[in-house]
Amino acid sequence: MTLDPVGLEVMGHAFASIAEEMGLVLIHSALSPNIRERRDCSAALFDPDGEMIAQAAHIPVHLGALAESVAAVRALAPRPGDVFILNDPYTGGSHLPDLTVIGAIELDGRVGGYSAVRAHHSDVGGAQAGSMPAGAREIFAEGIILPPVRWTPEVERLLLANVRTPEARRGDLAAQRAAVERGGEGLRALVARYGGEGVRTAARDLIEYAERRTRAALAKVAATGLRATDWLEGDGVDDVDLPITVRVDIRDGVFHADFTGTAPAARGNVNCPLAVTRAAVLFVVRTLLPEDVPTNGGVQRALRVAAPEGCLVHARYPSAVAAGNVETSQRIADTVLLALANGGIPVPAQGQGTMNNVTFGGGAWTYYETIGGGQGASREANGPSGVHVGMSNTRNTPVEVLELECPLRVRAYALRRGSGGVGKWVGGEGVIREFEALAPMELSVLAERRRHAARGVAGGASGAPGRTLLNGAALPPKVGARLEPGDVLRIETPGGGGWGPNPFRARIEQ
Amino acid sequence: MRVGVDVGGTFTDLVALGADGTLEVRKVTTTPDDPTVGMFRAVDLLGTREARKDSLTVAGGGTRDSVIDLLVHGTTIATNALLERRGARVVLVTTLGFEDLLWLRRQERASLYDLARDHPPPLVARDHVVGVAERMGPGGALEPLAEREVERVVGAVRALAPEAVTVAFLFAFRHPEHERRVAAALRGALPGIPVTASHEVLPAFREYERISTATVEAYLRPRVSAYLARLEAPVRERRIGGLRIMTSSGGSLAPAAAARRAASLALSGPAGGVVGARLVGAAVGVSDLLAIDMGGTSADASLVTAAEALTEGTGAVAGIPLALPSILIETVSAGGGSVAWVDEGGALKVGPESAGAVPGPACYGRGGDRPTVTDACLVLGWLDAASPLADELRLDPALAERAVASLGSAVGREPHAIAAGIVAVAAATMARALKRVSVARGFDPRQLALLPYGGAGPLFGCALADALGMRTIVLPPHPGVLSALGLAAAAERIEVMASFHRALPALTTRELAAAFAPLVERAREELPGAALARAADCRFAGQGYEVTIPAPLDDPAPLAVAFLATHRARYGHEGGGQPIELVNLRVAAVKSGGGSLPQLDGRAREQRAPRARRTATVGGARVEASVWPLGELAAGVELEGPAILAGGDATALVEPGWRGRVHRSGAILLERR
Repeated sequence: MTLDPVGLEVMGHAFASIAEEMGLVLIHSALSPNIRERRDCSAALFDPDGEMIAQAAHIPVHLGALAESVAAVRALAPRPGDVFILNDPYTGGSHLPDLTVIGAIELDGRVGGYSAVRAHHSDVGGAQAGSMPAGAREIFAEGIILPPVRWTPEVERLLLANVRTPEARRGDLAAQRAAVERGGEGLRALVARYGGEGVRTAARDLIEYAERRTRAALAKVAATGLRATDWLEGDGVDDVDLPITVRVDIRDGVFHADFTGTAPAARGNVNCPLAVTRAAVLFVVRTLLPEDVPTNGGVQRALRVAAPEGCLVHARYPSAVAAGNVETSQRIADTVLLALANGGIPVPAQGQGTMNNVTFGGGAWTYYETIGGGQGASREANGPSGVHVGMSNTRNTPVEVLELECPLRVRAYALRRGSGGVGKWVGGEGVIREFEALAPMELSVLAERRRHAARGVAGGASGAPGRTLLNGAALPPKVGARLEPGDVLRIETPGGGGWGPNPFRARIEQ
Repeated sequence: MRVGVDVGGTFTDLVALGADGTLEVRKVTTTPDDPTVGMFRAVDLLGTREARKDSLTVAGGGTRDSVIDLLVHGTTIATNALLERRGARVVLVTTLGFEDLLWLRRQERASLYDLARDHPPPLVARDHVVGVAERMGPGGALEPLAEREVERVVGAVRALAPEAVTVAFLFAFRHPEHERRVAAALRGALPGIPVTASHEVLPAFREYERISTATVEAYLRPRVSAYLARLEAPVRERRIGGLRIMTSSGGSLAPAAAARRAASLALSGPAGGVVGARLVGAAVGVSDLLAIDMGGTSADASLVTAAEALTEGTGAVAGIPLALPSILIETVSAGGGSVAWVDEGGALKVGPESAGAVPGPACYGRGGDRPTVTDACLVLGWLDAASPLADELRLDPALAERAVASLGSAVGREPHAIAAGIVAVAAATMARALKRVSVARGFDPRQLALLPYGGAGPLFGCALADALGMRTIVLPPHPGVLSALGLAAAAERIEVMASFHRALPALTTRELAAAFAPLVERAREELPGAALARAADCRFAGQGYEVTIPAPLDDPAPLAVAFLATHRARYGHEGGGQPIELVNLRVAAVKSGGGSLPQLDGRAREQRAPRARRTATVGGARVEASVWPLGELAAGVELEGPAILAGGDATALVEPGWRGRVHRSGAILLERR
């Protein structure tokens, strides 16, 4: 180690500040609500060897995932100042709506690092508006595929010719480019202040520091042979349960997750490329670390993820993957958490483990929302109620905004009392959201945990599974329907699992 | 004479502005049990020539006029009630089926990775929520409110014996009839109990934020009005011409108006500082500023752009959303009392834990033994152990050195080296937060000047400016009491608003004029004789944020042009041809506070040379720094870093590589060489 305790902290803030600035430039100047308000985006700074120095991940599904994108770009012999774009899940991407822009930062005539920015675009073409077609069986239906390519005006024209909303895409891409450029400026300013060698050494030391902190934290929870299986409830084509199985070993401060035994890739779009699986495991590891451990490549050094090629969580071209990012990533994180809990490691019980994606659409409008639910209880606390858990953390749409803009009425919006699993500490409550259609419209619901409840830990009870009810009749987890005026859709989201055996303790109301 | 009094956690600061431009400063210890005691002690010290042992006279001269025409007060009474959860027992009356809205919040979790962490609970107990069978929608009543239901609700509320009541229904921002009926019935049935209605407090869409804000108003109102009532007698006894209370938006209110707007006092104290920063910026001709107020436990960052404090309506205090227009103030957990420690991975950290006012930094000699930022500054020779802070509080260098050395061999052997590390980490922590605050709003710090204030801020000005690539620092004449100066100069200001959702292209001149008319009338009534400023909140249809645009004309066409220009300046683009809509209309009534920085009189500012030289550690090197009296330098004086400017209210450090010149206003402009 060459950085002293002061240098570690000062340079840690300096690098983190560059990544934060990139993310904020993107969020502040992007056009579409999906980036501006839902913050489905991330930004990161990499060293010339492709190791991540700092990341601003605004939602967990982006955690650490940009390293694969930079690796894919480095294979193309980048020149200083080159800017690349990609979305191919099988070459550095996650799912097609995530467009990733990467700049090779020029320092003294050489590539001195990379700045990378990923944002979820609500349209990359494909079979349906929104570019998340429910029935897709191949990636070709999900939109235009961009392998890593240099981002030239020609490539941009080609991309924009394949989407339904080129103006909005152009605006969001400009914001991404500005963010990538800001990352380069930030690194060059740091070099001007501390010198090229100083900055390079500092980056290396910081990565080692994060690795050291990660290994130290993992060493405290060493365990081997932790296993769990959980289920994905249908793939959007067939309504059958698909097992996700994991074995976790935490040895010598390294977290190993092996998904052998997981179902083969599905016919529908719930498959994940390995990069997304890794992000979900990294999320779990991150919850085990003290908050001040920097998010950089050092954390990933203490992580090994294996899965048989061609399975649900290591999909092979050309499997469809759009919903893998949304729902399967949640179940992967949940399964790993369950394995840890089964092994006595102090992690919270499972949470609702779904985003409850609801889409309504008429001729000229579509409306999409996700609904929070119960978080699992932990060893010292009840689970928070009515929140997003796991890989997402987006805000709700106010009732007044929804009713002003769409032919829908919200009849109830409430906590779902009694849905949290009981225990010494009680799981968080799910949510009830009831909509009445005021005009004919199409409905699509993509949800999980309608059959397999969030499980409790250490003797705590499971949370209540979710329910989707149309005029009082239960619907399957993933469903489409046509609504007429007066139809009532009621979503009851899952409660979180309880912690510890104490069925007599009533939930403490605040 | 106008007087501003800022009651802070540790000190109560007073600044008096004489009609002749003279300025007088007093600083006393805050009396937490009854803040008015300290406040009026400071007032009574005005005009006394010598500093008594329990106060500090900062500026020389003194004012020649002795009648207080106006006293403007910045208070933490509302802030503390929220932080300490000491407000009223509130009953919330809301639409049936939506009683959980305060618990559902906006459904985001409290922490991305700490899965056990929850949000602070709402200000209302869940069994103190009464659901009402009624429902308004976008076009009016969907379910009528029956008279029997009103009676039932009044009975249910009375049975809960509340100290305050909030009535907050869905769509009341547009259709307040149901809220009005229930509020009127409750006011009739529960005399003496404050009843707030969401359409009165914040007639704007987005139910969670509106209901939360209306609840805060009810929660604070009894406590705030009792406090304001306690001020009446001492003000009368001293023949003070008028009393006004600072609001979060940077304007001040008469006590009667403030008592009905308790929630608008949530950031009363810090808002004064931002008003002061804007004034100092205007006096030296700098209109875009990043201001940082560094005190004992935290630092508050804010932005001044085009000579106006940046105002937002999306804030939260103590984790409770409060959607009233408020000067942007973002708190960073780094202050003089922030504690330094070494983590398990071997990095030196500063904060977020603070030694607070008690025991305070080790050098206060009040029993603290953990090293703080203030201790480090003393070890480095930046602070002078010989000058008292206030109330005979003297700094003990031996205690500081012992505390700093306790960090031990991990950081270094030599106390100066350890102390230099502590201030470097504190500066890095603050610089990152300052960058976040500005970049998140579309400002590049490199284009702004830094204005550091508060007791400790001016020590860090150069380090922060260097870390952020800023080339200009504006050092106010009395940085330690800038908030009180801002209060003394603050304008009287009332804002009224109304919801007005309309597509801009379809709007006619006549419609816009008609929509503004009742607001203009109300603003005139509330503040007769004031200048009126009209504005409209506009957005691209469907976006989740608005931009407030001045709307002086009835013709809506210029609004679109102004909106696009402002949007481009703030966000870098003009949308993708999306339609523009109006969301809210606002009218502000403003009576100027004579808001320019007074010139200090000549006698007070005649110092032209350094008073002494002192050995200090700056940037890791031992240097001989010149020591100057802060706030007493004559206009035109030039100084070079390393220099220390020592005043009774604050100390400033000019690092090597920076050069300063005293402006005729008394402020010092520092430039990077």
